[in-house]
Amino acid sequence: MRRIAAFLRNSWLAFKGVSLWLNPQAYLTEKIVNPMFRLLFYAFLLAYGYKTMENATVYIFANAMLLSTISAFNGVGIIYFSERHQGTLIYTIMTPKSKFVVIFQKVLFHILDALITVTIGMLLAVVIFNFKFAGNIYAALLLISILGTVSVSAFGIFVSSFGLLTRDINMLLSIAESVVFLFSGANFPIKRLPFGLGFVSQILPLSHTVLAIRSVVRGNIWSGLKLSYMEIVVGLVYFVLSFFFIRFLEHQARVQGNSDLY
Amino acid sequence: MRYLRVFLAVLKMQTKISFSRNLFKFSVLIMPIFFSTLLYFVYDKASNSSSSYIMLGSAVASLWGVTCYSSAIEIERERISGTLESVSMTPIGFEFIIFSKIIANTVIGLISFGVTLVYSSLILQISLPVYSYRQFVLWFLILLFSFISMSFLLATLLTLSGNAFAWMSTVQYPIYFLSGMLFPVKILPKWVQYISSVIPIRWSMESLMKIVSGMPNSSIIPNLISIILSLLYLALAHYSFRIIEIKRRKEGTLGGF
Amino acid sequence: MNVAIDIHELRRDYVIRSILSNKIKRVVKALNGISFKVKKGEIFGILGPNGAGKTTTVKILSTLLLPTSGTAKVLGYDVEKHPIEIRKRINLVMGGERNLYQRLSTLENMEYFAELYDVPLKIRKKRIYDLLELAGLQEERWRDKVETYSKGMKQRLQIARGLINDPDFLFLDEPTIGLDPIGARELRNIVKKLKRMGKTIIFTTHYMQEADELCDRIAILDKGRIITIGTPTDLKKMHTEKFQIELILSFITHEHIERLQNLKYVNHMRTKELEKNIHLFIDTQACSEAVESVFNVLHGIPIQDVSIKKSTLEDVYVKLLGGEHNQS
Ligand SMILES: Nc1ncnc2c1ncn2[C@@H]1O[C@H](COP(=O)(O)OP(=O)(O)OP(=O)(O)O)[C@@H](O)[C@H]1O
Ligand SMILES: [Mg+2]
Repeated sequence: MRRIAAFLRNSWLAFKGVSLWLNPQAYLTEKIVNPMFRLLFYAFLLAYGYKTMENATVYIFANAMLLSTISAFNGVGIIYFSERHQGTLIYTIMTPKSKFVVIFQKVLFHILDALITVTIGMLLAVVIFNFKFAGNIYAALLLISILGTVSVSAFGIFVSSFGLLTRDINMLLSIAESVVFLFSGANFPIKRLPFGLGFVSQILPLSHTVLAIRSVVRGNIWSGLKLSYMEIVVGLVYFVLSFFFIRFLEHQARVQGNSDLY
Repeated sequence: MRYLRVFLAVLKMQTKISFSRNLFKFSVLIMPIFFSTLLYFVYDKASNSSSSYIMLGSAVASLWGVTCYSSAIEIERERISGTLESVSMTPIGFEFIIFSKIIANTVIGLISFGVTLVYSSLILQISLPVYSYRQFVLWFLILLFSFISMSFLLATLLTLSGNAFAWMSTVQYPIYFLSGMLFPVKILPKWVQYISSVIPIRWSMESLMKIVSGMPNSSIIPNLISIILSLLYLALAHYSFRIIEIKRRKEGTLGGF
Repeated sequence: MNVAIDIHELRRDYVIRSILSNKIKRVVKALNGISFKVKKGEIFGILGPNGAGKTTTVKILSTLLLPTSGTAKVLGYDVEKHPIEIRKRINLVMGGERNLYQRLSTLENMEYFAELYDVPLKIRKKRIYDLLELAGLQEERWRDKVETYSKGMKQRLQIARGLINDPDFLFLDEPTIGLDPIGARELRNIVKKLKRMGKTIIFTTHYMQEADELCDRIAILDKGRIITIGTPTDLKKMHTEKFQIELILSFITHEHIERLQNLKYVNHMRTKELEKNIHLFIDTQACSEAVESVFNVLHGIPIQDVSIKKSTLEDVYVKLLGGEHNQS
């Protein structure tokens, strides 16, 4: 019991130490105001593109979910960068503890934090666009979004780990975010992508989540949940990849000797 | 003459600094591609206005991203390195230096235009019918003027606020949809349209869209509105800089509220 | 086994690549084949000008960097092959204000690092309190965020953090940089305390006095090579005369200078004109004999001031590294 408490406590500290959003005003801006504006922007864009609100509904809703899960991606993505910036990256490398545990502790609260955002995003979408679904549909959507958040966070760790080598992680994060966004299918059907680019979307996070959301919104809860299951597989693959990748990059950091440049 | 020299010096330095920043490269090179790709797949390719948005709209939208980002980082960087105060004490003045930087950033940001044009025409295979090049170029300069006036005003806001970056994203997205860069303002709810009508970019954008859709004559009035609004913004910004200056002297700090 | 560190022919190159083409722009040879040993329980100082390779050495030993060639063993473990074993037994403190979680408090930082080093839960709290006390961080600030601390407080916290895993071996890279004189002295006392606790310490600094006071042995590094190594006393003996006599005169003739230089006890002499006075610097091994003979020669010349100084580690440093060599 005490072990678990210590584990959680430490995950919390790991989060608190690198999270940018501990001041309430910044948190509100970052978590509610900015996502809302972004959502509005994409919603108008989609409404224009798909001519009628009916056509656009599913896309808008998927976007709302996507925008909020991406906040998990950004939260996680900044971890190694922030450690580098504060000069604590060297201790992340120097710790004799299992990297697996260290990484897990680092991301746990980012994921929990993102769940709050997802809930807020869903509320915003419902309030602003007046979506009306049955109760079990909401539940399924929430569950799917949670799984999507976990998966995109795993992808976030993967991208974030480049922060071990470079201090220019921001650009990488922005590019990754744009790519995930385009290939997720939240804005247009993946089928429209030319030359087998659809495959790329299969191996990126969130594409299955978007499909799942779409199917649930149409009332097919079970098939939606099944699609979500694939999302978890994708996330798991990224998590395992990140683990090996981080070990490799830590070695690389020792070769290059830039772990405390910032 | 002295001002021109300072401006050229700023332009030169700015080009160097900007390209050493990866987020800048992102805004200039990747964002336009992101926007045009997104629009390409979402919009109906058959319609003429779609291709204008995919090409012209994406370019303008990325320019806005670059502008926001540069204004924010200029101010934040000076604040972090503690030079905000020393810059504001130089005889040439904080206001002029920021103004030069903004113009420089806008000029450099034009690269994103080139990127969009090349990407949309070569890869997405979209063409943009321009009915009168001379007019287009002129209107385009007016658009740039509106950009400069807006980012100048933005810079004052960011100087006064504690954290420029948080504010930057808060301003960035609303302008995307308020100014009709990527879709017409008409689709917004009525009361939102009123808000958007005080934004000079919105009017410039409207005239440019008119030129590419073959209605050059009706594009003059919106442009006039744009110029007037831009001048108003400049005046407002100038006045705000005065206030900042007084505040700095009184409180000895530009650390924000 | 009594050897805590064993370095042999250690080299380290940094490759600087061009950002655009990834081509190699420059190779900096930070360490050019250094070898030395450090005994258990010793305080070992590494001195040298900026860029000499001190931090590089410390980083290699603390497993943050890999050597380009050569071997380095810490407590019997090779830094390349068994980093984890080493990491359990060492810790590193970098001088300066970074290397802490700025948004966490002292206690939270300590707790976090305790977890990273798997300090047993039972003793965790007590150890944290003991260490913070040892480092002399005022208790009423323990719950404030680190970003609100002064430099000295951060430095103290770093020391406490560096001891969280009760390391056998502590690396201190310029730990007193930016501390006020009292703070620096307190830090030196902490280091002495640590030595009494049986810890082995490697220590880099730019303050010669500090090195003289603390270190059992010292290595002076320059451009990635060891120039000399030994106890402070040995170094002073080896590289400088024991005393320096400084005389201030209103005038002096060439003849006098020549006669002085030929005196038996005068090993080396330098003159310098300052504010219309002549300063004579005389190095010697035998102080009283030298003073006597010098005074004999200078008979009749008004002497305004005399001072006698024992040579210091700084003299060794300046002598070895010369005046031309302040920065690199
Ligand atoms: N990451 C790096 N990339 C390239 N060169 C580096 C890097 N780190 C250090 N160097 C170079 O290696 C040499 C040794 O640096 P090091 O930091 O070990 O010196 P130092 O003795 O600690 O100096 P100081 O007293 O200034 O701390 C210097 O020439 C430095 O420029
Ligand atoms: Mg150093």
